Amino acid sequence: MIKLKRRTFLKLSALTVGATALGLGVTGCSKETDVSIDGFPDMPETLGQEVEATVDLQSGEVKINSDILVKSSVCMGCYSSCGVRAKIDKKTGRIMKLTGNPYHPKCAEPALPYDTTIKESYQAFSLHGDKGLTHRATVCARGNSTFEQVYDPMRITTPLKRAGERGSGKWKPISWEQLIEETVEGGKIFAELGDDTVIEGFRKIHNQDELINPDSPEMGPKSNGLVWISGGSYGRINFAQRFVLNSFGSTNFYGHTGT
Amino acid sequence: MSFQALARKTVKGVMENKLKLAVIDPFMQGGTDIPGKTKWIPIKPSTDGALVLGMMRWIFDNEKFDGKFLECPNEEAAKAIGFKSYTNATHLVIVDEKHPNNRKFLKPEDLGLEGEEFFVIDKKTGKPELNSKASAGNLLYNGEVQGKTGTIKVATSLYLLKQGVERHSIDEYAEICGISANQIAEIAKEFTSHGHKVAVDTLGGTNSVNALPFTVALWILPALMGAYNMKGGMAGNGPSFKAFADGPKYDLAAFEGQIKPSGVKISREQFHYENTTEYKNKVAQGKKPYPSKLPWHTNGMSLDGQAMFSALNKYPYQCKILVNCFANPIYGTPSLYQEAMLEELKKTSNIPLIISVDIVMGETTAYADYIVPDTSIYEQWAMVPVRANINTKMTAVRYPIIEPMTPKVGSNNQPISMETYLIEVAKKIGMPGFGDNAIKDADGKMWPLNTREDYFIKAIANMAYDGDAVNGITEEDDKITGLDSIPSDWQAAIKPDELFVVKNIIAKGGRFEADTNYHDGEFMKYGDPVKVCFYSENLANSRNSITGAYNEGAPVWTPETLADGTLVDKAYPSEEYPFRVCSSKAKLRGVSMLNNCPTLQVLSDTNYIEINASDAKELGLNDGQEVMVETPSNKAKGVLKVRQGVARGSLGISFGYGKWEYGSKDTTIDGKVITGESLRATGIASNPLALIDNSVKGKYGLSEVITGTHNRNGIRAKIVPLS
Ligand code: SF4
Repeated sequence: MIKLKRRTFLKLSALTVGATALGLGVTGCSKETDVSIDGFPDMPETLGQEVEATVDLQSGEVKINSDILVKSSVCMGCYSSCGVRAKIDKKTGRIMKLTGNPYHPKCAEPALPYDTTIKESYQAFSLHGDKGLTHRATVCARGNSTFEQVYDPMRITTPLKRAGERGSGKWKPISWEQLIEETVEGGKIFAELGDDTVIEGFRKIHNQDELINPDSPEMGPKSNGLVWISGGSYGRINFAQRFVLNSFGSTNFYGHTGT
Repeated sequence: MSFQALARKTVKGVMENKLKLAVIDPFMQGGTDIPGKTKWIPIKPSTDGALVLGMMRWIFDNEKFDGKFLECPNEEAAKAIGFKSYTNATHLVIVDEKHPNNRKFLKPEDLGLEGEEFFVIDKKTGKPELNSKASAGNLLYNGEVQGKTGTIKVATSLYLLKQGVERHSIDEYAEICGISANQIAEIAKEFTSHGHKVAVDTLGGTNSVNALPFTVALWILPALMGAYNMKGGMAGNGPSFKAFADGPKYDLAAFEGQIKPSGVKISREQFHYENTTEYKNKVAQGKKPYPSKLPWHTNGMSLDGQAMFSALNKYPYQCKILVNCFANPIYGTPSLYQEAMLEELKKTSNIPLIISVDIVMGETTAYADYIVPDTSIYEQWAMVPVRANINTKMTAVRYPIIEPMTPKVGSNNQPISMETYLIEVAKKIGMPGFGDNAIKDADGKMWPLNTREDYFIKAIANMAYDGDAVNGITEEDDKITGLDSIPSDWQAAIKPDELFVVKNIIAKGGRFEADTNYHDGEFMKYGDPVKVCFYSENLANSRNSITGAYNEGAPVWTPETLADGTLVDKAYPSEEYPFRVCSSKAKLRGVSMLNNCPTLQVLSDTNYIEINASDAKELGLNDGQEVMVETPSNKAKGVLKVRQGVARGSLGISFGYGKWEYGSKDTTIDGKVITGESLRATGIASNPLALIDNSVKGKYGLSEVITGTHNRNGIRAKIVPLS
């Protein structure tokens, strides 16, 4: 991590005073202004990022950097679901940084009026008309970092099947077709591990006509053998519920309440 | 709860001297401490109920409740004096052992009449009257009424609440929770000196095995002041826009062939043990019906952890396919990650098939048979409803702001994800509601559900036209947000004229009503009138399925017990286990999914076992020392942090650390070893330390019987120095 020395910081803020345009990032300051201070250090590449736009403090004119896109999303860092805006590098398609969404009442107080255009919303990151103070949109330290999990080098992107006993940490990649075939049709799917047990897949368990426990009819149909455990209310469980509750016909859909 | 918004509003209120802030927590955290302003009240873990009931005792002793409000026996009466909620304080309950409807509310049939109402003692006439007919009822009546066949002993809900509260003196409550009687009185006084402008809230602190009476008592406190739905008082979440519903544009709720699920949930919740065949058979055979094999949680809700215990015990029936999706119960459920539990989890004879949908090797995913790669939060679609502290109408939107990293598969060329997997499975089996002709629009035309967009973009269209339609995106905004070049299958998911409004919502991250719209005069704008119950007939008529004892209908101080009623303090005396573990949310970790973020690793690399300086001194323990935390069920190593901000007798362990998978371990894929990153597993986790309930046969983590909530706060423990 780069540590910003206090002296350097002071010089930087001095630089913004009287400048005609305020960049949204550090490098923007030195690029957009022609103020030169003797001995002012070059900012290390890793500290500054190219800015998404510049805003003229007097006129409020917004100049968008065409190499960068700003897109809105919702943070799940702690399940509070704050609104975020992601700065995305058009060339690499990667997220560079996250900030708060000024339209979102959790992140700005007061929130930016909904009819404000996206272009004008950039002003909320500047000091033009004090918008950056009144509609400052924030996310917490966690919220700033959530995008890093997207680029986790250990991320799983291929379907995997266990290649040892459960929990042994041994896996093998399988094709999409094999994943669907084996989980739907079941059978002796662990035969290659020396286990000849016949496992029922989705097709067999999806059954409204037979009881899951004939001795206790109140337990309901065999479909209840599918148990779905889902995280908290994060905005896409309705899709899974459509499948589990209303199409598969299992009563066993769980959110995250008891733990 | 939105922590950002809550923190901002609290700090603002405190700094403007409009708000007094007291933090009642065994574990004082930075951020809740506004220097010179915050009052910290260190409470012993899992004794919160004693504080709340102590406050109520003071309120009853000093008659500081809002009697005029409480006397209102129905909504109209309350409205007439300026409130937007009412209570059942005056409603009569039968408290007559000999009466067949003992423990239930007095109903017209008990008096030989018809109808479904309640009775009060009319304040004007002193006689029983229907609650809808009276404008005020007697608050603390305890006596008899003339019934169908004789007199019936009755008492009001408020009388029963007060009677329960008076089982202990304020001094006794103080002794239990470790807060002085004076301080309890002081908080109660402050609480009742602002009329209806008071509010309470709680979150994870309720995870203890005496959580229910505490939570009920806590919600009753503001009702005693009439605070519900009042400006400055208690507010619920604001409403959402229609999205996945039968919306103005598309019906995403109903489809042809739709099934209404039936039967008992495997988690043993929302169902009375007395209605099971197991119970009926025992009674028919002349056997004692109690205990049931595992406890039944009549008042539980969506208990994922209990579903896991059920699966491991194949009770009340077998789980055939367990799907874990965007969840991590093995890390998140107290006592699930323990040797005895894992042995059962590994057996395919218990759970034949485990499928996990995940982006990384989570603790639960590590026990799967198959892993379906998922999209990350920034690669997926989601319509996010309002969470607490925001009271206006809003729905936020997540959409794939970057190209998903999972490969594209199938005839629709979709990235692998939970949705892609479910569509494929449903289509292969021929399940209803997926594939061609799955979704009906408002004109009756059928649309396919073959891609994620087929579903989620329609949900945004519903949002856009709910009430007054939102404006379309401007041409300039369309361009600068990159929405002018969205893929053609996004566009194909809705009618062309809907695209411009949908894009405006996507660009702005959702649809938000102006945040100035919180109030409607003296009321909260979106608070529909509520009825707050001081006595619950439903609770009072349900039983503990292990002991057969009836539950209490009004909250009373309840010490923690095992399911069979044995006091936890008796089973594990404090001489042997002097500490209680409590958990908190770390500021730089998520619920269980941010251990792979390098920035957070750098900013806060580990957690500690946090202990009060006086406790440490007494035991001769030092800051930074390595110790073993031993509980009756498990043990774990950690490093001590000695500080003042922890209640005496408490061990603070923050959540999100002490992980053992999540990419921290070596994994073998196709025989090749992928080296784990140990930084992801630093610190200590409290859940594996939680107690197993040995009073129950079978593998079962200590839980509260009525609600099924777990033993996360209050885990009995001792500390053994290692260095
Ligand atoms: S920004 Fe912070 S408070 Fe908001 S959801 Fe993300 S992690 Fe939670």
